[in-house]
Amino acid sequence: MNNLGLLLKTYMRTSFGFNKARYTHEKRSKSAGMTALLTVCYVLIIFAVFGMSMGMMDSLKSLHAEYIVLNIMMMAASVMVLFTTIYKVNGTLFGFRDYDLQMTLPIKTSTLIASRILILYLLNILFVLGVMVPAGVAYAIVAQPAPAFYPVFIITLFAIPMLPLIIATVIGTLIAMAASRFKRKNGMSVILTVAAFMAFMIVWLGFWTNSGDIIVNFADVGGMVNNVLTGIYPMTGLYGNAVGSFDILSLVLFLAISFGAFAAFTAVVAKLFKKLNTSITTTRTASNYKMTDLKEATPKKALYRREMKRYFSSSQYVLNTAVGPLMLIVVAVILLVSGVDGFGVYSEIPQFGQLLAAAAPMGISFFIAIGCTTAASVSLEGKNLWIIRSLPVDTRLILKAKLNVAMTLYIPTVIIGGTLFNIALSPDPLFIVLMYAIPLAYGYFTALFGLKSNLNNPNFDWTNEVTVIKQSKPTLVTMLVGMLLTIAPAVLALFFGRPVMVAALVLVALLDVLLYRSLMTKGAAQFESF
Amino acid sequence: MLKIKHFTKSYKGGTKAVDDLSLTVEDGDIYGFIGHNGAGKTTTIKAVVGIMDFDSGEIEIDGMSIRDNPIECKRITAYIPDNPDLYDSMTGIQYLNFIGDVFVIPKAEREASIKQYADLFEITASLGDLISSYSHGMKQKLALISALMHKPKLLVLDEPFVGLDPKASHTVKQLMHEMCENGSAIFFSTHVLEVAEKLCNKIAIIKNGRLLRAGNLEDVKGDESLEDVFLELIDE
Repeated sequence: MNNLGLLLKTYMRTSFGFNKARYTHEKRSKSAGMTALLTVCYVLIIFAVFGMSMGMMDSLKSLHAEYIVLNIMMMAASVMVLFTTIYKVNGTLFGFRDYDLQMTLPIKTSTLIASRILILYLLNILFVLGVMVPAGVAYAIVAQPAPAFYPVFIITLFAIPMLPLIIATVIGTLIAMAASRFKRKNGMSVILTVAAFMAFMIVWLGFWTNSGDIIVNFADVGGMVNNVLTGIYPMTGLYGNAVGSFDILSLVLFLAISFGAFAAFTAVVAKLFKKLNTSITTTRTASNYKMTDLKEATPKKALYRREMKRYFSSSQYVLNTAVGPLMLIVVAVILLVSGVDGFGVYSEIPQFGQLLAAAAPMGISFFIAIGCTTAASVSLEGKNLWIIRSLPVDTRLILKAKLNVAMTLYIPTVIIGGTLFNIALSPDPLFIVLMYAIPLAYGYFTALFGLKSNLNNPNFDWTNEVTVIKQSKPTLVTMLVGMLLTIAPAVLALFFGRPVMVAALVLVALLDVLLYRSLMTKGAAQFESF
Repeated sequence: MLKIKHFTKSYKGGTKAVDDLSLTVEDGDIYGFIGHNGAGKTTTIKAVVGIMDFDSGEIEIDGMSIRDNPIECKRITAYIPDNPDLYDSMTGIQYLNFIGDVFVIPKAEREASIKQYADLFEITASLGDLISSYSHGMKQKLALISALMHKPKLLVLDEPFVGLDPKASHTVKQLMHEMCENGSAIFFSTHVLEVAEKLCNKIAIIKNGRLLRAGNLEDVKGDESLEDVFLELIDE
């Protein structure tokens, strides 16, 4: 096996617990349960994309423009790759824990960089496949394309994540370099990354609004949609021409740009890798401390502060968990400014007003449930676990501190988001109360469920914290369960009205009580057994 | 101060890491725990400080069971692992203050202790810096300060001299003597037999999870050097 293969194999072995599962005799039933749940969720997503694609293609069939749906899915997958990769750069490409070890090996720097980028690629390709394959199958059924479609589709499939990945890596590198110039570089990294997201959203919305109310009748404006997509991301045009019209030049250009960007980035960064890594990872020291008054706190408060410090010490942790609440606030502000009807146009959801009036609290809960701090909080103890385990504190206090960090994020978000929604929708008093009560119950459920999942599936041996923050089973399962538990009642509420939401509130509140009790007994015992 | 009675710990899969180990550390003892790599020293130490459960036997600290009264036991114990991974995102002083809060050390006493030990280990100026910027030795010193500042009755250390500069090693030895003169007890593992021979009044030798010899230093080594005795026992 060549060096690149060896480096990738080592990463897979150390980061996903394969080796641990193989060489230890730990109980695997819980892990197997989580794998099964993840698989079910992944399959559900595939079916959802398939169903959505079939529906959209059906309305475009008369125009022979079904390929536009492939373009939309390709664009969506690229945007997701871009969004989810920017904050993985620091920790995967730079500042990874085994940097010292790998740099001392007789391996070319460019090979090392290629391995780090391919790690990011592997993390994204599963998602891209989950979106593009069902869309491609739907296209094959509805459009019944010529045989040439299949090889072109498969070849381009694996190139789709490459360019957004490289763009994200460049942006992530620039952010990490800029942040490293500040004393509080993690805080600065969070601010710069959020700013990059916001800038992207503004550009995105700008393109749509300049295109007019094109989404009102999707079938009539297929070509315009395509123009807008190509305007935002020119690769969409090349992809459409290659897959839809079998244009060889577009295909060659699409592949050349995708893999050329990878080769060019690897070559450039190889020359600067050591310098960039040093500047990004170097910690500033003042070495001028003089003893001053210390502030005392109770053990409970000290544990909470410890958790908050851990939370804000990692830009990846903050961004991965705060993205839902941030999106909620953005959505709430847009809703307030544009009104219910105006928002319906932007969001591409027909009868949005009706949906919102029926299930707005579920919408808020959705944004709360997709960002969970507790699902990684146990694993993040990592090699520091010995400290908390050897201190004279009640384990329940440690777990409560972890839950409190999540609620510190959720409570202000629910208050701000709920209030903005209430102003925008002017609902009746019961709905106003539900707008706060349901998201809070869901928020607490998410925190409890995330913590329970992490206690069932901890990983203390990570070399890159992104592994447990973003790619771990507890994080993914908690997010998917949260999504399902909010989307299902929202859909039911459309048909059966408010009783569904009240029932969901009662059910989730009950689950909160049961989970809390379980955590304070079984969960505490689990933590003590690590 | 510390009683380990018939302590047994098995790995998942059945292999015994430590098998029926018993020893007693009295008040004022500096007790050295020696053995080859993988002999079971760290496993025993982790069970003593309450961070690893065990299959059978009993461990008592100051008459209290670590299983039944873990919090009370931990309140009078301090532990430093062989590789002190501390919270990188905290500054040195934030970490010490966190330990002070958890052990509920009064403010004046806390400040005085930190100043005393930080000056002694010469890291006062670095206390305002992030722990991520510390060298291994500095982390070791910070861990030592955090262990000493709450005046433990039992100090448990795993390879305490690894990574320390000669002056800091000397300071640690002096502090160990002072602690024992004040009635505390120290239980530590080491590979440095010369240090064990000079510092300890009691020694235990462990091989493949079984205690080969334990007791007063003079009884364990007789007229030979500790190194000779150790090598003889290990090669048997």
